[in-house]
Amino acid sequence: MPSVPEAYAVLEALGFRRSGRIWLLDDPRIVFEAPGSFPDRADESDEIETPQGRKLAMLKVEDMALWRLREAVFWGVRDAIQQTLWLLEAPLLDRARLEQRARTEHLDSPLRILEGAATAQATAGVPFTDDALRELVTAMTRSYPFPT
Amino acid sequence: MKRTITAEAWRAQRAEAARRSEAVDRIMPSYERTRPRDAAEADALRRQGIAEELIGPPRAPDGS
Repeated sequence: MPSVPEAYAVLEALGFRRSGRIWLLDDPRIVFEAPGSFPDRADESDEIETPQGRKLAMLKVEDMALWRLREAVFWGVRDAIQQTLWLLEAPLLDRARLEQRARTEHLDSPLRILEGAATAQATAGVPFTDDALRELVTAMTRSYPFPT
Repeated sequence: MKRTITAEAWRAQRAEAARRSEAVDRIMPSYERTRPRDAAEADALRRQGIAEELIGPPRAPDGS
């Protein structure tokens, strides 16, 4: 969402109020986060066309998945693992673009490790334990080529 | 390349998306946000009725 006064005015006219980086509406209860105006340099967006013909920009799901993967790899965020897996299962995901972007961002190894572990758990039919998730995050982090 | 997805196409994939998300949930613990959040933002979300597991822990005074 553009962080410009005109956008704020439209939201406020609709009844939204701002609290830091989130916008709130009381009835119906709606909350959304607007952390910045523009996607990262290498990110891309798709368009969602409403029945009225209006078009809304939406970050491509492959880029959303890689941002969540970065959170897991860089900061060890456990819930980011689950969010990444949800996004990797999105029917609209472009697998070829995901893999190309992951290679470019040096996230191909963490991605492979995550998907391998998830497949193994699904095949075994058992959920990750907390210890297994910690080990998974460690393995993903170690596979990332941090500068020395 | 930018794709244009109609609202109808978006709605049409929701059932499949939900089915796949449930498969992910079967191999994960119950979802709980672990990233810290500023107190003011947490309070605003709480007043909106957002569940505690989606709000996450408070951020420490040193920002960590």
